[in-house]
Amino acid sequence: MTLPIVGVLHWLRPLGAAGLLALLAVPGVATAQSRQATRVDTTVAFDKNGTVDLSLISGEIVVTAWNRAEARVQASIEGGGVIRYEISRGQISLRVDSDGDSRRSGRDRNVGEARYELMVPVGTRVEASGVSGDVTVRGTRAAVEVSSVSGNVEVTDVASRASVNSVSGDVTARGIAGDARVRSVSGDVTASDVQGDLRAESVSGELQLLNVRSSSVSAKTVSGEIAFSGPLSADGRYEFNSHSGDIVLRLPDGTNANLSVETYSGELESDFPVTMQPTSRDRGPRRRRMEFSLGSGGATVAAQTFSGNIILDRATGRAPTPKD
Amino acid sequence: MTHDPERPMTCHDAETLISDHLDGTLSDADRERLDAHCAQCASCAAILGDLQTIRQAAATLPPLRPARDRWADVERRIAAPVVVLDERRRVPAWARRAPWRQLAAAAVLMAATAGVTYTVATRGGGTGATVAAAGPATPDSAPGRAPVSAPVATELPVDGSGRATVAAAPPSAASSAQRSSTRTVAATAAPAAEATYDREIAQMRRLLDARSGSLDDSTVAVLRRNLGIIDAAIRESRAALARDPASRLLNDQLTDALDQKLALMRTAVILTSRT
Repeated sequence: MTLPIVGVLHWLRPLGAAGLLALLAVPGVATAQSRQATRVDTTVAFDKNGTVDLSLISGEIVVTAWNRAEARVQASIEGGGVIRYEISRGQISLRVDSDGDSRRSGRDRNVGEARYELMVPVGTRVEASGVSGDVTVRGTRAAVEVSSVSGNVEVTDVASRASVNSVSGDVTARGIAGDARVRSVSGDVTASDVQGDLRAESVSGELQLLNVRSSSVSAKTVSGEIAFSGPLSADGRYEFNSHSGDIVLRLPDGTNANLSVETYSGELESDFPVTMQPTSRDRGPRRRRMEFSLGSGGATVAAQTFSGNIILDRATGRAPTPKD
Repeated sequence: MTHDPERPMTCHDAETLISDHLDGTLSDADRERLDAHCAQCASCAAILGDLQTIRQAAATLPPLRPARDRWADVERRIAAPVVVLDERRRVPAWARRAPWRQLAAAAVLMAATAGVTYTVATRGGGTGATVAAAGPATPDSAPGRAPVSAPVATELPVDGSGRATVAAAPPSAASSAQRSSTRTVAATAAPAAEATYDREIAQMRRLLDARSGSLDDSTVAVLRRNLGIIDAAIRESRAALARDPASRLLNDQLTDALDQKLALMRTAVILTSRT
């Protein structure tokens, strides 16, 4: 079934984008599978628990949810290559591929810049990836898994699990009711209003974890700085680790937690009155490891850094930054 | 997971089946479909090859035993009350569905086991294979540690701003005898663990060298710069460990840095397969 359609599209290529658009507008054809084009603009009936699977090399992906049982797909590519796509009632798949001309000239990877803009029903599961493209997913409420190599990635309003990754781009996750895993190598990572388990990692990027209401948080970086704010759950566990970056924990008044903080060559600062219970091996002039309680104890907080500072701030409603 | 034979296989479908394939749970029919897809898709074929390589490398890791000073923590966790989770949390949907999470978990496990090996070798006293035989012990009973004593309550000094401040002094107070004994243990045991890391990192480096041409220059530059950052952290941790071999913090920092280096290289290898 695929080959004749591809063949027809290939035959119609001299008609240009307008011709292909006209073809796509033909009822029935829009729901066929495994096609290719340089431009797609169609609206189809789509299940509320469907899946969207998108990938491109460079360009931009934007997925936004709406309260309709249909999906609108607008996609285009310029500068070489084609968009291969499959659209059915339960799944939409878009990816870029080299066209015949590029393949024959050995420019398989030399595809142009693509842009995907989709409106999908709330509840749609989204997987999206780009190499140098930005990826944004808003309001879908279902599981989201997005990544980019050098582009920025942003996910907002997810009721399920969110996995948001980039290598050099910035990573942003906001309003995540489920578990969130946010990672970047050199880009900055921001996770705010997360309620599920939160895992944040970077090598050199900053980790900004704001208004986190999770009971399980793990943040690791090598040279980046970590800033955390949010209430601590009584049975929660919060772990922060850096090599050289500062760790700033902004905690509300009345926090009940048992803290273990340790720095090899940095400093500890605290806005809270702290009564330490040093471990035996840290008695004497070395005060590198300190264990103490805030309030009546409860949450377990561990912060560890080699040369960074550990700062315990009293929350004032202002978002913390490592530079504070 | 079984793939619907009526539907053309996408790369996403293939990734799901690759996970089952590595687990040995793939049906013959799906195996044939996966093979057919990989025969036509260089990206999926490369990913499958990489993961098979990693799995084979993981199989060569030596048997691992926990360090005796980990036992107290393990025992505490075992004794913790069981909390009944609802069905969805017990087996998260993403874990059932997303095969890459399982593969990533396997990869993390490799790094973690290597980390455990390092900890065993550098902190257990003697060889890693013998430390667990003596049974549980508290951290303070480990070789080279001070005996347990009552904690001393200390008030942090408060500066003029009202903020308590403690400056961590450079390591100088440990007794020379203590440092001498622990350094001897670490010096004799660490190479085995480091060799495990070196082997894993070398494996990743070979894969990267073979495929680095598929990454664009800017990505390679980012990866190199951040590998340099991690290498600097490794050097600093090692240098500090040489002065203070008994430090749990430094051991943890070094292990974390080595794990992060391995993870970053693994990410780079996967990128070469995908881009």
